[in-house]
Amino acid sequence: MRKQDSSSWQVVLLLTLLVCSVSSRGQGLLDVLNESEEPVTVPVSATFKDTRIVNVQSNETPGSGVLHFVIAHRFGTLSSGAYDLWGLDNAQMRMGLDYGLTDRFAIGVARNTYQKNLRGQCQGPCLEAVDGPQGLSIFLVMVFGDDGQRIEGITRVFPLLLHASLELRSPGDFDTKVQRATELGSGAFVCPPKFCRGYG
Amino acid sequence: MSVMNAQRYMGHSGMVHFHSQTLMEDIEATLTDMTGIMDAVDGSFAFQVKMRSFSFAKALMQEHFNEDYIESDQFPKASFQGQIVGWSESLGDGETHVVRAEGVFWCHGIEQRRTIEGSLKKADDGWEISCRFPVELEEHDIDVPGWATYLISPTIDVDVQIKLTQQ
Repeated sequence: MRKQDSSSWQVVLLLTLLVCSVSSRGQGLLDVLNESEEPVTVPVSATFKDTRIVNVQSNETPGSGVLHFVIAHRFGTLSSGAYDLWGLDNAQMRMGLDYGLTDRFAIGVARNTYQKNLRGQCQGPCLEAVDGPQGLSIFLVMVFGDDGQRIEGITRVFPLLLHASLELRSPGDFDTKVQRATELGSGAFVCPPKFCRGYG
Repeated sequence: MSVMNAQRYMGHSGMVHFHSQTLMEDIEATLTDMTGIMDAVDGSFAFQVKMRSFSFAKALMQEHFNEDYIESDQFPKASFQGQIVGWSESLGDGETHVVRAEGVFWCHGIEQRRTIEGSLKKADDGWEISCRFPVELEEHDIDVPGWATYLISPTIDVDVQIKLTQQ
């Protein structure tokens, strides 16, 4: 009785091994391909959907050979009441043309209602966020001119606007890291009150 | 094992080109870093591409492809793994043969059993493989919003070319 038991276990074991080896053989070639690939780092793309975020430049550029026409409005204050349609009446307009010389470098010119300014700008990356096997990466874009001039205090001294977003990455799944970077980035770009006062 | 490996052919610079045509817009993209492997003992093979490698004429098309349609962060790769039907030694006679391959096409996280026709030629230093096949967006759960159906064809034509050399 005991002998029969052990032999039937052997059969089960043999079958299990057979099934395992068959299924691993089915995955084989794709696994070999994956093993032969070296992990690569690719630049994080599309952190923002547009080249402008509210009143400032985002880290995005139009892309090589693309001419990007942007009309942006900056309205008055809500507290101006019904007579000014809560700020909608006194809109200031900015019309801008950006051109992507390469995928990451762009030049542009913009006309602003405020002080009837015509201003040029150029934009390029200093450091780029990458998606790959490392823990921390920093994203830094330089924008010269244009809006840089309009922010009181800072830009009188430095006519250069640095856009930075810091990505804090923990080792693990890349998807969640990219997501976190995007959230951090938009917080850094949209929220600072300095960008929202001082002109208009 | 070493005998089996001796019959393995690999390539790392395969070309994939796809084309979507509608009345309003032609969309094309190409990549040149497809990886492939074939076992010349039984005609089994696997090909794989990284979706982020596709390069488009317009930067915005590429962004939409990666962000909205193929969702490259979530589904970074597409692959086709299968077997050449009726594999025999005589396919390696240096002529171009039209063959059929059966296997699983994996794209946008959805697998489909496919039979794909292609051509196969044994060169001095490896195998030259090319094929062309359609991909139905619906079969792979790639959603195109109503307004974009004028711009994106529901069927995408895919061209593949690769050279595999002996390992």
